[in-house]
Amino acid sequence: MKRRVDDALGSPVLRHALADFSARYVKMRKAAFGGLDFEAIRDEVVAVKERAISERERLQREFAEKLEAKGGRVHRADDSAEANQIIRGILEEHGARKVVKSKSITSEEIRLNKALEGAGLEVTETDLGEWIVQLAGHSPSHMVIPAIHMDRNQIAALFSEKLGEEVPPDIGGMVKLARRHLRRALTEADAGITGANIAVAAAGTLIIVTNEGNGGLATSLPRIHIALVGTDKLLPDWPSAMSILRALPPSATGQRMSSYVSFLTGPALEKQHVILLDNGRRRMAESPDFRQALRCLRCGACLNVCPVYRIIGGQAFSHVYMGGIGTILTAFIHDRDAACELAKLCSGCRACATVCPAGIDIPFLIEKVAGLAAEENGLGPIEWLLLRGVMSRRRAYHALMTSLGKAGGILADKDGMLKIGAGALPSADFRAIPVVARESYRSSLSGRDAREEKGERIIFFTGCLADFVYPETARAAERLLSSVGFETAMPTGQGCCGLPAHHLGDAGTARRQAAEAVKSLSAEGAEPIVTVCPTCLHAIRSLWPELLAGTELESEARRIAARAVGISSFLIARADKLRFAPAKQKITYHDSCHVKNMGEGEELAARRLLTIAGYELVETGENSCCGFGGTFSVNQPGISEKMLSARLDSLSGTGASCAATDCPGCVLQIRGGMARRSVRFLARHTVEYLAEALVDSDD
Amino acid sequence: MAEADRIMLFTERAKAASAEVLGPAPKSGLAEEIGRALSAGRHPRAVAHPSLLTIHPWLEFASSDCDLVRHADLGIIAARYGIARTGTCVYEPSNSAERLIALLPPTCLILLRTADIVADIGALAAAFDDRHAGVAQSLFITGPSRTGDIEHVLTLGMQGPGRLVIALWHEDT
Ligand code: SF4
Repeated sequence: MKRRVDDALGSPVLRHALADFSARYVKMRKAAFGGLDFEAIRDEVVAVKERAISERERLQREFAEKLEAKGGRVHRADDSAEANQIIRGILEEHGARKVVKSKSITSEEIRLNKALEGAGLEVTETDLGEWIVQLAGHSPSHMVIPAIHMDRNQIAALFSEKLGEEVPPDIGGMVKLARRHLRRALTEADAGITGANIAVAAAGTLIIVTNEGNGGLATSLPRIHIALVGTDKLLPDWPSAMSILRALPPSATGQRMSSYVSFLTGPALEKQHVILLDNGRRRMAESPDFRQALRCLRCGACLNVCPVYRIIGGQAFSHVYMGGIGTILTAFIHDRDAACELAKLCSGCRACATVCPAGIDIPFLIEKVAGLAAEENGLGPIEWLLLRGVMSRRRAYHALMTSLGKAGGILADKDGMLKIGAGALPSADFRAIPVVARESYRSSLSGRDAREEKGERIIFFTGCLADFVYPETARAAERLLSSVGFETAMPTGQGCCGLPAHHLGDAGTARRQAAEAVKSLSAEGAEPIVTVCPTCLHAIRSLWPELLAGTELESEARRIAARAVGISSFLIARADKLRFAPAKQKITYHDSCHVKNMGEGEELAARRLLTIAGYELVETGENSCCGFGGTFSVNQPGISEKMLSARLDSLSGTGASCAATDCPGCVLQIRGGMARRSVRFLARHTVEYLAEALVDSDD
Repeated sequence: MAEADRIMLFTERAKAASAEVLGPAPKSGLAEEIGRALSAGRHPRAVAHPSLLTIHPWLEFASSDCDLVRHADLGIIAARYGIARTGTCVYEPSNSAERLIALLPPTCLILLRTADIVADIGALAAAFDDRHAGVAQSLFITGPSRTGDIEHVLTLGMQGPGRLVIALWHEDT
């Protein structure tokens, strides 16, 4: 995997194309869903697909019955080898030599082209992008735009070489040329092989969605039509098919509807064969965790918004399915070990989950895949030491942090960054690392008894970074909370939220950490639990109830989840009590992924607070991920560096000399990156800027 | 949604998908409208869905011989429905030759009666449920054939028609 990732990192064409497409896609998707309730559409897709998964055996029978009554023939294949054998057999039986294909990712799943070419058949992909990668001998780099990694010059050179004529790099001309070649292939073919986006059981109908129209042509011109259909594509009836058609084109290409949606019921000309492919889908349906992945529409929306995919593209993934959902599908369809490796490419930003029209919790399932690896192969030595040796033992972990804090003075440069270590780990040197603070937030509290003070009480869940590395963040939050009438209490049993361990696949450690935290917080009553760390907030809200489901702590975890709130949301509701001396400073805001993708408007609250405090807020063009992702930035320094570099450029481009963000992890990454660039640019938590402008009520 | 709103929305959305929209014109004025837009004479090899020649006899310039479709430069079909929200025409051919009228020639002309425009795709589900047989070979058409496969630059006419003209009509009053 490392070699493929390195290759991708070395391709500026790919990075530019992906960044450009991804930015355009976000706008187009938004416009295509305009006027519609995305959440309602998603709920409908979830309901429709869940029903189909539950009834999958019946739907397969009904589909076969209906299609055969129309003169089609249905075959079932358990795996790739069987599917390839069936298709070869059909072509042989009908004396077919020339085959055209309409884009089908399922056919790539079973490596059909290789099997057919091995049998001496002439195979032509008719989707332009697929044809380009076929001519180039590449694998597709995007589910919807397979040749996104090539620019017009590279494609012109490829056409010139393969088609034996000088082809200038003019896109319109190249499309015309391709049309001519592909029209001939379509007209001369004996058989057309397609996939299907939907198979309607009640009618025995296949539905194929394309923009070029090759789905319709490949099924209407050749005398034989063969469709390879994953069993996950079966739906009961027309209303369910329409629900999917409403969600698919906006998610896939940002169109309200694709140009052509072809319905096929029975043979268009002589013969129609449909192969229903299982290939791991039954196992997926039987897994309580992974069953939801069968809802996938293969729209690629999750790829288009994935900050890691945007840097490395699809060819860095070892098998046909790419991106986050690719990691999950690969685990069941191809190769579990490869999938476990791919899981390390996830930064855990959760952008995919916000756009998935099928409501699949992709990041959670990726962590489950990482968990399979940890279960089967154990943790790596560094992960073991970090998670089991240190972080799972709260007292030992805190003692270590305290000692590191004491040593901090010797290790730090004048900016508080670690002086040594960079030489030992050059790949991680793209970002300076802060030293642990001399006095942690928790140790500064010793001797204070919050309960004696006046005002209402909140429980303060600082998270590790604001406790040990950036205690000034915690102190700023405390000051703000106090000025809106709340005293903060920090339970001493508070430890790591468990998300880093879970992300690395160590569900056992994460569960222990969640249990310990729940016990320590439940002892504290019913007050709101306020945090300055969105990762902790996500853990409290979602991970703890999930990890503790079925244990005696489950209901307590759910109660605690309902009490948790981010600091900016908490403050904005009480903004009338905050008094500021207008700061009059130009500032930009960095959206932390966990803040933005949680969808609770924490980032909007922060922006409003900064404006109320008198800051002049300037926005960056695109608000991309900074590449931190906790352990991700350590495991994938090459990718993290590229993500950070793009983000630093856009932050500096605003003309502001400082950035606010609601995440201590992003502070670490951006500050460290700017330090390596030797640029005077300050990144701090929003609360620090607010506290700086705050006029205390007794001033 | 009232019919006038459906027509307006359909027109806006079909144009957004790069289709040209004519009318709405009364049935008796349709020939003129289309003649102006297409200058029918420039399409000497037009093929029309056979049923159209009886409904719109002025289409006499077009052949109803589906076998000629591979060489035609204009394909003429009638949509059974329009979908306003997406600007989509729903065509219901009964065999592959009829389907190819919409796909092979470089220009496609679709006649759509305004009363057949529904608001959203959901409204079709019930109609489809009642008429399994009728919809068996349906084709939804939203704008011309397109690709963005090279540098994501929108290019029309990749495999199917590069020009899609939708003529809206209503019964004469
Ligand atoms: S996981 Fe969701 S967003 Fe990704 S391809 Fe599947 S349906 Fe689309």
